[in-house]
Amino acid sequence: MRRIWDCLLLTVNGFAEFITEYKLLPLAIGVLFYAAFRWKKYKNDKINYFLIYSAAAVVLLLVPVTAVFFLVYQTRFYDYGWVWSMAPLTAVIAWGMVTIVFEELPGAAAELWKKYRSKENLLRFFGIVVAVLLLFVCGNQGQFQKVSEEELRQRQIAESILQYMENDGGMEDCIVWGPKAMMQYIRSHNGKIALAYGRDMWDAKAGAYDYEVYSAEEIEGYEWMELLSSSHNLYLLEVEQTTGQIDKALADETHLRRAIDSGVHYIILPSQITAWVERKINAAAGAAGLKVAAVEVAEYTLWMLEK
Amino acid sequence: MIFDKGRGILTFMNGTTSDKFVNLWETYICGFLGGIGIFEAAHLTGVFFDKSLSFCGKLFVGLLAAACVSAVVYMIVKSRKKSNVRRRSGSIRAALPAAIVFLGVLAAQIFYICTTSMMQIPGDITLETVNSFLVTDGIYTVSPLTGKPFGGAPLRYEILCLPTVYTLLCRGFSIAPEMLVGRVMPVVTLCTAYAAYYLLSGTLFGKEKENSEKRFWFLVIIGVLFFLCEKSVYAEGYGILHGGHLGTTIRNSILVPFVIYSALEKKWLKAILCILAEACIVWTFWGLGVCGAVFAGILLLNIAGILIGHKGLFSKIRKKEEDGL
Repeated sequence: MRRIWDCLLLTVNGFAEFITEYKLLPLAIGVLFYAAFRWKKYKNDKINYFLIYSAAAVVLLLVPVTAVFFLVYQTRFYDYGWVWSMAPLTAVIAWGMVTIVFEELPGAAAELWKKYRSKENLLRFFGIVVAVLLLFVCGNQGQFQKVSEEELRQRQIAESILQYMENDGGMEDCIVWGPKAMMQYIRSHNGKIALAYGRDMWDAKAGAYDYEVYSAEEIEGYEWMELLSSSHNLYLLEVEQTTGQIDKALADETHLRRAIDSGVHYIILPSQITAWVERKINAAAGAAGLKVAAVEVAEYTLWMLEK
Repeated sequence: MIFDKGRGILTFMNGTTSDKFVNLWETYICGFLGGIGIFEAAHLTGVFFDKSLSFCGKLFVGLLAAACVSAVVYMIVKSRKKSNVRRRSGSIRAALPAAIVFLGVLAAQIFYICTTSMMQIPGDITLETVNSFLVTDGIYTVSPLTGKPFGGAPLRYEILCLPTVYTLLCRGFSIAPEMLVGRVMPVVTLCTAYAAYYLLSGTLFGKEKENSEKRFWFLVIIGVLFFLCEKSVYAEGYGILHGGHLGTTIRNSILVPFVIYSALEKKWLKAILCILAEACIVWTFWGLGVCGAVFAGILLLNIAGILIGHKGLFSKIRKKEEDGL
């Protein structure tokens, strides 16, 4: 019972999120209403089956109780929004637009049609333009999603670090620990380099392929790294307005020691905190019998540990 | 090879049916689905028999060669029986302006895919997986995200063949994984999606020459929808433009339109092919996914029509009302 209630809540909340982004659903419903009033015109049974199936799918997905069934059917591996794959909304909207332009426009604009009969192609083209404008208003209005400038910049820095590591050699059994943007790029572009933890540490959906969980120590290490790599905190450091949280993190060498003991070979940290890190990493590496070398790459310092 | 396989599958499935026309795009998509099947066979061999990726690659080439030879032999045998298979012709000329606009939209989308930076889609680990397969020459021997040994992925996840497909293609054609996953596969998915929608348009508007213009405007509207519906992660537009390599994108853009087309045209075997292909590339409920639901829905409508006692249900209702008037 509890599970069904959870699924119902997920359906309702999921729909609210879905309709916020996908504004063409009302347009698809409008096309189905239009088709419902005009279905007698369609001599082709295939169109009727297509429309009935589409309408039934939309209705079943709109009603939360039946939508729960589809949510369970598609398995919990997928979010709520994917249930709408069962309703061919794109095909319905496109069919509706073309049908209205080619079959309704002549009737609705009969007088205009008589006058400009010789230019029917032009009128149809005009109809298509109006249809596209309507889609434009209901869609993303030309504002495409794109990767932010900051993310692109971080990728370029990660590429430089990766190139340095590849030139340094010794990629076999090599483990890297650093800010998530760096680690994500490095692992995506070089399968030989292992990470202290994966992208599933901050992207829960990426961890759907395995059952393993991170230990409390690993999670603390991640939080420590992200706290020190945060651009906001680095700014506070530069203007000497550090908070108690940052001071405590800078003073803490536990995570560095744990990383070195677990076999990490490369540690990436912001250059702004090199002075604080140097003494601690030397002490931790010395205790483990390792030598430390450092190189600055863009705004990060790459700490290399070797025997 | 895709067309060759597809033509063989199509000839096998058409058999002695009344459909004497060989549709180029249906051939292509059947070949595409057949290719997924062959990749899946090679992938499952690697998963269940603990074989290396190199072995799977050789097995795939062998299976593909066998499939192509079988298809050619079968077509030769069928052609000797004079099945009168011929092609439809002349449809594009009637709709030249619409076709040109469609090609413009297609070119713009290909340009967009090839020039924009790859977005990181939540939950997508394809690139990491392909890289780890390439390095270890094995399937899920290490965790794709960390590179360390791990306990293994759930079976329903391990049986999905797309990472192996991309790895074998990268190795076979010496393409960088980022190029294949981020550029090549999205373009292939985009073009195949339009092929599927073109087939569906034939069912919705009719395959006659005079409907060619409507069919191409249908594709134009589909293309515009791809561009305008890319804000939602669940929309086809987002999948086509930013995640063309994902199994969910291939399912939503290619398999679903094709299964609708096949079910409406009562080409049940092809619809089942879509269901099987979906099970190979997307996590499903023990093999039943969206294609299965769509197939079941349209099949039920057909059964309802038969049970009510007539072949063209709506024609009968329409005729009754006209007689009543």
